[in-house]
Amino acid sequence: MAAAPPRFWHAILKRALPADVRDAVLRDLDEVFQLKSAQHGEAAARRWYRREALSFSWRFTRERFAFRRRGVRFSLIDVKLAGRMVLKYPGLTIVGGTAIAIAIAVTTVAFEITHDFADPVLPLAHGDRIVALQMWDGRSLAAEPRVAYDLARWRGAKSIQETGAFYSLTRTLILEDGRGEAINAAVMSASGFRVAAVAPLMGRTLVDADEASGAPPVAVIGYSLWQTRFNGDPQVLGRTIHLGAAPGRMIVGVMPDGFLFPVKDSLWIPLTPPDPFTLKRFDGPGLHAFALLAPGYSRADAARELSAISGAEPPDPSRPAPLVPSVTAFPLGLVSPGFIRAAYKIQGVLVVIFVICCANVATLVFARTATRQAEISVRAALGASRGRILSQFFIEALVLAGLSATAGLFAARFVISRAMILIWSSGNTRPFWWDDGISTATLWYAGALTLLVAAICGVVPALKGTRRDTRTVLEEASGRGSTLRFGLASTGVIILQVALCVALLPAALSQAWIALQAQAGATGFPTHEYLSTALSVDSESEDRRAAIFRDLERRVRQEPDVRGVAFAASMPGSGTARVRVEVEGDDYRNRERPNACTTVVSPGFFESVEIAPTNGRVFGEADAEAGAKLIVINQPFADRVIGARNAIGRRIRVATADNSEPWLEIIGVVPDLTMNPLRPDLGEGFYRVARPGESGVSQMAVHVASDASAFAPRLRAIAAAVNPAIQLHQLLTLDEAGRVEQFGFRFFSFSLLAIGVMGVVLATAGIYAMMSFTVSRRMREIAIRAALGGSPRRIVVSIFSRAALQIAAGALVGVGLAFLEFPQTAREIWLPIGLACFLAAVGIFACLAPARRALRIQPSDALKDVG
Amino acid sequence: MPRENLGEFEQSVMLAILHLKDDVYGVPIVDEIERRTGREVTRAAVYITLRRLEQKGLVASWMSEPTAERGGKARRHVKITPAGLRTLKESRDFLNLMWRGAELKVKDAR
Repeated sequence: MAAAPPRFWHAILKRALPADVRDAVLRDLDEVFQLKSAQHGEAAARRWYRREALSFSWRFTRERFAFRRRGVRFSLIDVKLAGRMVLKYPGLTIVGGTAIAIAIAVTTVAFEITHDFADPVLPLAHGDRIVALQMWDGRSLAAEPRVAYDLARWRGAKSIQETGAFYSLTRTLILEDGRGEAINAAVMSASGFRVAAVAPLMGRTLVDADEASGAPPVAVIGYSLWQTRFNGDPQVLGRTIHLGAAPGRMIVGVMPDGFLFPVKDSLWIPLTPPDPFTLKRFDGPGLHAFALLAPGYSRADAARELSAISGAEPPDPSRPAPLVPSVTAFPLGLVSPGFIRAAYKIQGVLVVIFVICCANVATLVFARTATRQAEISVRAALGASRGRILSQFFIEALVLAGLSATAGLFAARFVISRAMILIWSSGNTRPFWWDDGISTATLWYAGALTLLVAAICGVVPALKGTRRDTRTVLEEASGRGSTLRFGLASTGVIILQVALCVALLPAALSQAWIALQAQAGATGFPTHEYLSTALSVDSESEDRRAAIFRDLERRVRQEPDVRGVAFAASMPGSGTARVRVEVEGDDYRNRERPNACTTVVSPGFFESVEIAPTNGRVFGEADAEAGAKLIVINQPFADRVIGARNAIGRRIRVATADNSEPWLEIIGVVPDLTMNPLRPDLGEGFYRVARPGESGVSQMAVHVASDASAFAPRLRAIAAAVNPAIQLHQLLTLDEAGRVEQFGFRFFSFSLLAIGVMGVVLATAGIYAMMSFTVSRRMREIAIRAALGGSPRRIVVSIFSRAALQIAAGALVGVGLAFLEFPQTAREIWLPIGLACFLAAVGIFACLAPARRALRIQPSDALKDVG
Repeated sequence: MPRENLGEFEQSVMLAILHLKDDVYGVPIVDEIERRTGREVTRAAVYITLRRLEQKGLVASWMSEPTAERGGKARRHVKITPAGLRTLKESRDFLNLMWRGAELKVKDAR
């Protein structure tokens, strides 16, 4: 096996090299690395590679920024001072820095994932010119997939050099020895290979003649398929492969390693275009259309030209609004428009949260600025311009933000890599353009966010702090106390902070609590002993599929290690459908019908997961024949929906507007098997029965006496022996499958919690700093009032009334926002109220110390300063 | 006077390309310079120079057919454009003019 260059240095190089030479340099270095590895050993070759990576990275980076060197001057003193400030105020550094780091981590993770779809760098020769073509329905905000007619007309456009189309297919690949395996195939126009512009490793790519009806069926295979299924056979050209029950296809070409265009494909078969003479508009198969833009043309140019071409077609009377051609980034043609809209919305929300976070940190920095009034005024008196002072504050904030952003980016990189390991290890194949690392665009984005932080946290407080004239400030510096005011802005910030904390944090806490519960949620049986998979069979009728699945079940049960085989539409620990139900005889005029989870299981399901009923019985073979009118409910359903009554024999039905659903008779009660893993507290549900392969019962779990994951190859072999067309998807133990399914939810929940907790810490620190500072500023006034005989009680009331009003206003707004959606549990009611009380206590505590100090000042001392 | 001022290293890279007959890409260019001069050159400098020469239009590049020995990956081959040849010749002529009459003065230098 060939040695591989060190991954880390390879990644560094990849980042440093400009796109136009990246591939060539990496391949050349790889070639020399292999040579050196063979001549001098791998260790020496790796050392050489590291040196070269450093040399290339340094020289190309210097080359890239060479034109910017002139005219840029920054003072090292400022950076040094900023470093000192970071160390001098550890509280601010830790609280503010952590908040910025978390905010940047969360925002960049979301940006990176969106970017990989919305504007990725396609690793192909003309990747920047490859685009998706769609017919966009602006009214329904959806794309019309039947574009064959328009695609044929777009071919002559000046802005388009080449067009192509494909659709994806998952089929069972049956080899000459009868083995079968699910495979992603692209049914693609031959022009797709011209767009990708990658030469085959062996043989040829698809050509236009392959698309003709009646042409001999051919296929091109990918490098990985060639290596894994054909053992790298150099005589593979001319061999035949079978996809399901379709006639065999002759292999005419092998594509090089890493070629997965258009998505993640390792097999390409020709797309036969519809007959142009009979094809009507918006007819034919659903396609993903794409194009290679002509050099010098932009997406907007192409969109204009295609709109003109399609606009000349007679309008379709069945459509209220004409469809408009859209030219977008290539991956956007593959995902639903809702996905990218949601991604942009989340991005927008995160940026708003980010700015709020910055405002919080700015509050802390502002409090620090107030303590540095003397320093600012002395510098101003010595001739420093306001701009110079502002730039110093900016650099101070930039250093803090830069350190935080670096930590945030590392955290983002870690989160993305962990998430991707989980996703790619669960049977998903990485799309060819997907990059698990942090892209250059994301680095720029993080850089822009860092500048934004520096501007908000450095410049804004500094602008306020340097507004007054030098004389006033110098007088204050000589001992008369600061007169720097927070003003109305401070009131606004306090109200906003309290409101946001009270409104958002309980939701974040609830969400995290649910995620924790979901993680700890026991399904009631040892899920790690079960190997689960989703089954499918190519183009078979339901009866035929059921017969195949029954046969598979029988064969698997014969294995000595197998203790049971369970089939279900969804396995315990994964999500189920939720419906509203009604119990026969119950009155729902004054209350809502309860919600319940529901799924369908095979007759032997409960025996296989070794769960005994707590009441009644579970499904037997004969029950599947009874037209699925019998159900088994779980204990939460019995407790919350049926209550103290005996459940057995009682009938329920799914509530619909026309009451068309049949009544279902309860025959048994089983313990809770976690039908709702994301909300275990809302886990009431019921099971229907159907045979494997019927009514969506296509998930299989095999209870294995020994190591469940080690049984996977055996299960594949049995499936191939039963019927080569059986496809096994996501072959994982049940606990792994649950983890994969819950990952997104848990990630979202914990991100929300991290943001929420940081919000409270920031708000607490901010409120304390602001209240404490405001009261300190009034110390002389308080002392004078006390000297003039003011009642201490009235003075204290006047101090606290403002703080109490600000916090109360924020709490009211926050509780109002939190209760916008009607709270369902005691936790949802008391959390916002408790949080509001906590923040009020923080505010009052912040006022206490300076107020007590002020009241203790001797009247004579206070009056001495008045003149 | 040449229209483009070619540096010493740029000339070395272009001359290496001229000396190599076929299969001209980064790796053999580095080897060729080192073999002829007996000096080690920085590989990155060669690639940066190639890129710069291509941006000036003095060198053209294209991707070759993928080869099995490189795991099915293609090479970026380079050749000197007519403008490149002209500039190289002008650079040599320019230096020759400057050297005329100065040879004797450096003859005995060590």
